[in-house]
Amino acid sequence: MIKNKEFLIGIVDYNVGNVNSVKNAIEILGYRAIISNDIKVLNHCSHLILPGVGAFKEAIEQLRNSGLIDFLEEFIFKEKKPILGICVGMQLMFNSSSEDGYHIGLGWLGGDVKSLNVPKDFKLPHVGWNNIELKNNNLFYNIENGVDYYFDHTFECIASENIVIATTNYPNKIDSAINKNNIYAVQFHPEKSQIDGLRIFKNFIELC
Amino acid sequence: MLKKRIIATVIVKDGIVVQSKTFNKYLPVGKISVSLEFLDKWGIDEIVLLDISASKNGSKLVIEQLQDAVKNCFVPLTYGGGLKNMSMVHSVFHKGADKVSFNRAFFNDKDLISNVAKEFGKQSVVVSLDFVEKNGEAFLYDYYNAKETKTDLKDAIIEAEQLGIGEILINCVNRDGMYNGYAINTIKSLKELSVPLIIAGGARGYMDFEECLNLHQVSGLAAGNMFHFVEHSVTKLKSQLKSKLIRKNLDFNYDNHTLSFDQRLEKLDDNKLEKFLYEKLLDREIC
Repeated sequence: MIKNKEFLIGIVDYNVGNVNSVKNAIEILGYRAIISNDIKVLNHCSHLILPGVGAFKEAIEQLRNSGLIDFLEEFIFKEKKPILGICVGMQLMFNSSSEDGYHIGLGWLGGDVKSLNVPKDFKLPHVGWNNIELKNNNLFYNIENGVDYYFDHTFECIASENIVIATTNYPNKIDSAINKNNIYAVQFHPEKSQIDGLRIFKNFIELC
Repeated sequence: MLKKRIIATVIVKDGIVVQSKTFNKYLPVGKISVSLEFLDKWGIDEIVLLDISASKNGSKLVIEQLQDAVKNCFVPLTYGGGLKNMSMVHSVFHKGADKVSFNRAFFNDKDLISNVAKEFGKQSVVVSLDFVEKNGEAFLYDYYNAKETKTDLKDAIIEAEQLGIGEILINCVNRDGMYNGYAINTIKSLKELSVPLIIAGGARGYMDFEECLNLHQVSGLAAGNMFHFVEHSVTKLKSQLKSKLIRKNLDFNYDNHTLSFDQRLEKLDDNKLEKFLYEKLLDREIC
């Protein structure tokens, strides 16, 4: 039941995390998805998804080792095709992270990744379902303000540009989704957030 | 606001989902993929999949079928059972688990736990501790050797926290499958943890959940047996719970908020149902 053949969604496989669940989510929506680390294959894609689970340091090292960064930058800045970062995939796009030392990120987005700042009686990691306050954006078409998404992270992105399209409180404000031109990224896991998560993928594919 | 999670524990023995009673009697339920799909559709918040035969006879039955089993599961999934080394952990993550749970390794290979936490991030590691209640005290239970230890549950929790992990699941062995409520006194006696705590063992109905939802120690409430053999068990539970601390998700086949006098879910308003009549609905209607 392939719905639309013009879309091919590439899931960047750089040896980190749970890429299969992203593929599952896209395929259940009726689109074609491919998991790959091969530039030739990814170049054919209409959209890319940069997934991510785990620690920033490990993730950025794996991405550098994969040799995909130059290709990704061409895909995004020259060809202007859309990309969606998920969780650590979002964090990688910022300038730097202070998780376990100091690490330089991809620098596509202005801002840094810092440890979540929570009062004493709030636990870390920030794990579970939390609601988002969203701004008007194509990524959130048909999604109500205040719906819950699944979060699981200890570090947060602090954007220095005006690119934040959704925030979440735990109890302080977290930047939970961003959009800058054709770059989209979410801190939560849409592939693990049931129907409202699938909507994010559908919107990203159809409207972004 | 961060919601308290309603979690389903899916116990698997020799490749089949079972109901478990105090860790020694088992009743078969069915296929893993079916259980996961149903729980997801009924609106569970998270699933913990435990292979209880993996440690004892080294079976990899569940890991082998994990990739297919999670095809229709769009909630976070924790896998536990028989994880002995890094490469097994790798393959479990690759096949679709979001977190791994360690129980046996807490007794004999703590390094493995902290190494996994370092490599995959602490948020992907759960330590699951079984305990028995005895004369108002709680002791760690060694599931592999089927005997209780002299370690106090509180000390075990502190030890687990120090491994740099993300969550702790505590499961009361004498309440497992007995339907006599969570070990509320033990839970209340725990001091504030630095990581989220999931409680399991004994839940039968919404009263048990209501009792523990407000406890500040508790981040997630797990149950296993009560979700099996009952249609829409999760939806019904969430409708019975009036607390604002849980996630209410909307489905379109039934009214999420009302229950009839005999505690069944009310069907949707006729006009609404009629609207669906001539509309072709996908398995998962998202627009």
